[in-house]
Amino acid sequence: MQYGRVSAQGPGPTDVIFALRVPPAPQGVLGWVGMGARAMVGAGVAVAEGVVSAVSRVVAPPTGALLDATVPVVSDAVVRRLDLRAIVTRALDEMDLTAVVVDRVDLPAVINSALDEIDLTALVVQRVDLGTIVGAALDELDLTEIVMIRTDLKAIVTRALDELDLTEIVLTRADLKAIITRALDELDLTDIVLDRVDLARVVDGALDELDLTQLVIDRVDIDAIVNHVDMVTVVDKVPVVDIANYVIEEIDLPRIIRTSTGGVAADAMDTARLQAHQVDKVSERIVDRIIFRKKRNLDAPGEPQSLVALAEEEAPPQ
Amino acid sequence: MTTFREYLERKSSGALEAEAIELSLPEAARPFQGERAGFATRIVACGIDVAIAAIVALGVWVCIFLVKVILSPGTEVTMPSFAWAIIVSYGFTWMYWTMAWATTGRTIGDWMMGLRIVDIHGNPLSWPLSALRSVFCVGFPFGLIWVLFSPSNRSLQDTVLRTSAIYDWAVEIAAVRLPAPDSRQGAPSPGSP
Repeated sequence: MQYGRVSAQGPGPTDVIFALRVPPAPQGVLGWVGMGARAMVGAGVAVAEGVVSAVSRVVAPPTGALLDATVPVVSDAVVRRLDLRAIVTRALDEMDLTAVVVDRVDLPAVINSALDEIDLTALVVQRVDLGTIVGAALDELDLTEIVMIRTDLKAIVTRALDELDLTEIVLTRADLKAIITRALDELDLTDIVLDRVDLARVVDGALDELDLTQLVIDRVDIDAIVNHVDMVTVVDKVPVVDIANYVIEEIDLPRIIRTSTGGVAADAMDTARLQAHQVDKVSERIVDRIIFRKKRNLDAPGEPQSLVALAEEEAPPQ
Repeated sequence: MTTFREYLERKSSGALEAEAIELSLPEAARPFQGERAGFATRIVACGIDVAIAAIVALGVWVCIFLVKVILSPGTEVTMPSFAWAIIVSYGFTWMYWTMAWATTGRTIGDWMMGLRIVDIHGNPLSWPLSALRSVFCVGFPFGLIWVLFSPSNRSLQDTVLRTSAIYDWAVEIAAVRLPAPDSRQGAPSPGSP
């Protein structure tokens, strides 16, 4: 309770003592509404007491003791007879409580004070059925859509990946064997690899990394493989004649034969032929100069045997 | 060194035949193979043939002398006249040239000087043509001088009979290269003896 005194000039008792019930700090809109109602009631009481005081002054100069004895009784009687609900309802109808509160109340201070006093977390945990609320919210919301639209997933994932050691997490927390086994059971790895993997690049990369020659030398029993090879088939596929001709050409067998069989006589004959040819040319030039001929037509029909002999040899038999 | 792969590439490109021929011919002789031969070469070849004919005639003459000495010992040997020897030599030369030109196209002198006699189509001479050309050559050897003045290096005999003496050096070892497997069952290789 809070008590007050109103002093007045004049004979007789001049002081009116009133008592106000100080309500606890309002909580929420309903709290403020209750406080307003209580203020209205207090105001009614004060008015009643004022009326009593005035009557007392007019009728008889009551004493303070008399007032102390009668005022509460009268107040209670007045209060009992007042339709407080109607009064409050009418007051609420006529007042814009929100405007009053906004104008008259230091809301930040009130809220801060209230929050200082209250453990909101505990209050929510104790009083709110979080499961129901969250369930209802989840039923109403499309969380996936919200996350997709409102969240910078890339940044979140990037930051998460920066801060997490995924390898360590997977190694410590995941049953890798079970995961892999189940994945392998459900997947057709062959199809996946054929569809999604650039096998050429993979193989190229692998071959770049590996020293296949050394690998074969180290790991393959070449002798065993050769022992299983049908050499006759291999030789049948080898171009033996080409190889023989290649060897003949490489060792210059014709020159060897010519040198070994012809010897000095063949060289002398070649020299004699060449010198005779040179004499032919000289004599032709001399005669042509004398008779003012520019050029002779020396092309003869057919092909010389020295140039076609080989072609005739290699022609298939008729 | 040529690798086997390079060798096969050359073979597939057809360059191998020319190379094989080049292996068998002196480099300086390659450009003029197939051309009509000049006067100097032909006169030397002809001279070799005549010398061979003379040697053969002399041999025949010596043989006749020896046979007569053996069969008629102690008597004076009467030898054939020089004219007879000349006739025999001419006859032998005609027969020798006819056979040589009609078969191989070369006499020994031609072979030594790298010549071959061909007809208007480049083929060896037929027997009649060969015999006719041989008669011309034996009967009028001076026709060879026309080679100097002919615009196509033809002798008088060649001009009349439309034959040619060409440079065609004998290639004896071209067959060193083995024939292809599918042609190996054919005739023996021309270079083999």
